[in-house]
Amino acid sequence: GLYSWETVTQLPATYAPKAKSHRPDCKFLTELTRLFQKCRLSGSVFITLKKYDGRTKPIPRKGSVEGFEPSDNKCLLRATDGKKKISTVVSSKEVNKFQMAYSNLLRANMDGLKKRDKKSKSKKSKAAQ
Amino acid sequence: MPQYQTWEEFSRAAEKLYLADPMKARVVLKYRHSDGSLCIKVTDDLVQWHFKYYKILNLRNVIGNLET
Repeated sequence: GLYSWETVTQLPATYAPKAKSHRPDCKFLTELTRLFQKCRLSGSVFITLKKYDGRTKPIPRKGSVEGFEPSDNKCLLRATDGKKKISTVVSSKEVNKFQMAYSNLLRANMDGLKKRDKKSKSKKSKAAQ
Repeated sequence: MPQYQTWEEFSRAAEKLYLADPMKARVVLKYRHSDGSLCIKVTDDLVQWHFKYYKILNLRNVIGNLET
């Protein structure tokens, strides 16, 4: 049958990440390391970080999802090299442990950034005094 | 898409953007080892702030972002 004009022009409902595709933190970090290694010679690693309320279904434009209580303590991390996509959800319970491992990972893998030269470093510390 | 020169200005703008609407704001890191560059973008799909690193700063930005 023919779609009504109203349906065709409707905007998509709010996107919700697919829960089943989230990897546990440790696996995410292992695969993130692999992404960095893959892209060392060429390419980019994209990491996205945002607050996450735990939704697993799109929020319809009209009304709301039954029984959904937004959580306040989670964030969603996504990473990709343009081809492979990985993601994980970190809650405030795990954040300290995760943060340490995550920042160590970034420090170790983003080692291509040029080192701060000694001159500017001493200038900075003088300015701070 | 304004690009900030100093980390302090950028992190203030980023925090402001996040506080305006926490559910909409996101941080995107783009790392290119071949160029030795890291580009950080904060956006809520209406407004975007950029910051580009070539020098190695302590990655406190990671910790700051996660804590937010």
